[in-house]
Amino acid sequence: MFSNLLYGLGIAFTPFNIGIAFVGCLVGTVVGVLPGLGPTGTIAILLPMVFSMPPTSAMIMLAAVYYGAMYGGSTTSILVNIPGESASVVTCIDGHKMALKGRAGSALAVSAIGSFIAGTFSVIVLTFIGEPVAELALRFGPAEFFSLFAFGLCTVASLTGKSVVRAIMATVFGLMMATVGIDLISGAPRFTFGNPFLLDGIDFIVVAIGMFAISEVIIIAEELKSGARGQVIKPKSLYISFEEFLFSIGSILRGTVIGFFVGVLPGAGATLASFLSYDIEKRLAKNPETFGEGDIRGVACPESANNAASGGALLPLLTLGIPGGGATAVMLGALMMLDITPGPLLFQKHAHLVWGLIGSMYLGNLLLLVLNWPLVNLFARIMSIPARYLMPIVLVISTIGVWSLSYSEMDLIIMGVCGVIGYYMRKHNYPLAPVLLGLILGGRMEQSFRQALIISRGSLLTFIQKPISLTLLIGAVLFLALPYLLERSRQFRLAREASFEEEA
Amino acid sequence: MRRIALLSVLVVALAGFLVAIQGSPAVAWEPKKSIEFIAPANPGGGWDTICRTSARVFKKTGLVTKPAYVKNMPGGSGSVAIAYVVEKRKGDNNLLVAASNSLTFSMAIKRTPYTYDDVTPLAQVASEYGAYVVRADSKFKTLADLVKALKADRKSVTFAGGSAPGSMDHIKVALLAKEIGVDPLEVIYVPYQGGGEALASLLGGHVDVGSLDVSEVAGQLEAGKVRVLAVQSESRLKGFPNLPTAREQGVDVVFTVWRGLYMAPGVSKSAKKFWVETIKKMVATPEWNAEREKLGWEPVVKFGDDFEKYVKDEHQRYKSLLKELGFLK
Repeated sequence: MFSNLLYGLGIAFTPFNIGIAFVGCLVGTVVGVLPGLGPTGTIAILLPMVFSMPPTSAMIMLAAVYYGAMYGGSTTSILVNIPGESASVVTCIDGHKMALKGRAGSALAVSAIGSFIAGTFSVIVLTFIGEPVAELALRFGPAEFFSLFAFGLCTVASLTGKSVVRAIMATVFGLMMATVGIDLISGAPRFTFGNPFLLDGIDFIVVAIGMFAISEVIIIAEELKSGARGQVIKPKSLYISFEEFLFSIGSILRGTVIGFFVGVLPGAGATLASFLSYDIEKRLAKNPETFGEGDIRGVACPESANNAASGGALLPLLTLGIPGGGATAVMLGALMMLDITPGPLLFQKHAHLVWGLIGSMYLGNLLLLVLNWPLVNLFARIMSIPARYLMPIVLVISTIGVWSLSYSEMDLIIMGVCGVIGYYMRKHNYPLAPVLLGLILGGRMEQSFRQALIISRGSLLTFIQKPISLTLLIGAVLFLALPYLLERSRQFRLAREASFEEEA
Repeated sequence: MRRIALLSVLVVALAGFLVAIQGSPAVAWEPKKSIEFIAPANPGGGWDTICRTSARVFKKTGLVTKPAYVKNMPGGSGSVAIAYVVEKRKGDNNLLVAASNSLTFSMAIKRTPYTYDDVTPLAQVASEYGAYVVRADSKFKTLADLVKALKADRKSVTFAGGSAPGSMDHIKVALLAKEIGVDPLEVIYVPYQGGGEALASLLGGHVDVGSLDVSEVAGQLEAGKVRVLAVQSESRLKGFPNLPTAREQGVDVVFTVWRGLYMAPGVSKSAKKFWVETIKKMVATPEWNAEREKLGWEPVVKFGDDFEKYVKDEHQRYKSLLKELGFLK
């Protein structure tokens, strides 16, 4: 293994490949920062350029764009509440709160460090135990996926904010939006009102930008008008302190492990990973009430998770020839155009490419950290721009980002409507994140549920007969019930202690 | 003499002027600005590949000197793009849109109100074929084993494909059922979000048979992870001569997945002619054929009127097929 790694590092550390990895990381960072334009589209745009390169260099560059985008994704989430990528939605919750409290620098820095640790961890796993982990991913069929998504939906419990009922309503709203579009299982369009632009459903990132960014603009406009808001937030920190780092290192490591394993599963993705890790982090915390109010751990865990997930998604592509999602599907296409058949024999037949790529990812993660570190300081200063100048820019960037997705006016309308809905919800203390959780999980959860039932010929027992599925479902039930039971036992204990005292 | 010379200059000038204001019918049309491709799907799929490969070959071979760029417009298996092209881009001579059977299905199942009558079909640039694929350790060794199992109990086999019921991967299964006298609607088919997910589910042993394109399973085949029971082509594929066809095993299922291009309605005759000729030249270049072979596409092509007739017939065929299968009333 080590000889393979050294061989790969040897390939990656040629001047041309170092240069190409740097360009890839740079492009990835920019793409990550800009909302809307995601790694999938960018890789497609870069394809003609990379075909004039040797295959190894081509893949080094495309992969760098892919994992680089996850580094940049947190920037706009933290600074202006626009999720740069769909996997950065969770980062908005605590990240933007931190920025409002003058701690943008800490938030940006912790996400850069978290991303670096997560990225490096996933390459190490890829190097040493790639194949067995990928085989594990194949064990996930529709029944297992349904239970995983059900488990994911339980994470809503930690996104509730003040009222559980409101959180459930928000989740249901998201689940309802997820039903719009062609139903995969029957082939019939649902709730599209004859409009072809709704056939593919409502885009997650459009809703995310509308709910978070547009509602933010409206609220700030209102506050500026009424004078409730000062113009400038004075940054307290431009970097992270050593105490803050120590405080968040546990979250980074847990986010990394969760993110990687969710990322490996084809189709589960970085977004689910970020929600899951946030939930688990909040449950483990001694003082969960600080989550949602600008807790640095609430930035550290999802940002580590989405980076680890992007590394994880490369694993089934390289070891099995199966794409894990949008961006890896384009990379699979690129491999074919480079005359390399993606499949289980990739490691044997194209060792140069695979190990060169893995070697470059060690370098790439380091490059991204070096690249992003000075930007932390620079970006943190954006918070000192007066809101009345910053907010119009946010509006423009959001609009362009949404437009660039598929050049559809419908998307812009949905963004606007979601902005107004988001504004209403925030004014009335409805949490926004559950809507997005419902939207991203709803469609896939329904699909897996129905796929599993077709396979089991209609028997619901399939979900508890399969060990992985059963474990996940038990986990989901425990997740929901545990806080309640703990609270009950605490009250019971208190009551007993009280009665003891009375007796005494 | 000088008069004659002056007169002849005038005559030539006048003739030139007349030709110019007539829009020079004698001079062939050619693009004067950049070319736009629309791939009606996300990057990475078949439609996207047609556009990007054509654009690259245009440039490499110098067939088209103006730059070409690709725009992705996903939605409803081509429905969004065709609506956009018909409603907003009428008469645009510089626009090429990718298409395949999926678009015909969208028309047949009325996902889009538009048909091939509303656009300008141009050419088929390649073909691909689907196959019935099982895991290497499957109990089905040949197509005959699968047919036997289906005939004994039509619900005993679980098929998987990368598209919704009534779309391509399912139709390939339905055609098999119909051919061997089993009710197509009774056969168990699990739709997945794309061929990749269907393949993963097949490899994981969650389903029995995959209805997938040969190019999608090439890597697995090479590694000995899957077995192709039958390819749905007329004769054995040039790229995969070892794979048996369904027809040679006595089950007459032939289903071609074509890949092609269409233009907006109302384009000029000379522009259409230019593009047909250019694409004809393109598919003959070694550059195109090298790319095509890498993708596992077969060199089956049709142009202009031939292609137009083919897709219009196909539309009618699919309509009656979907009616027969119970997807259309």
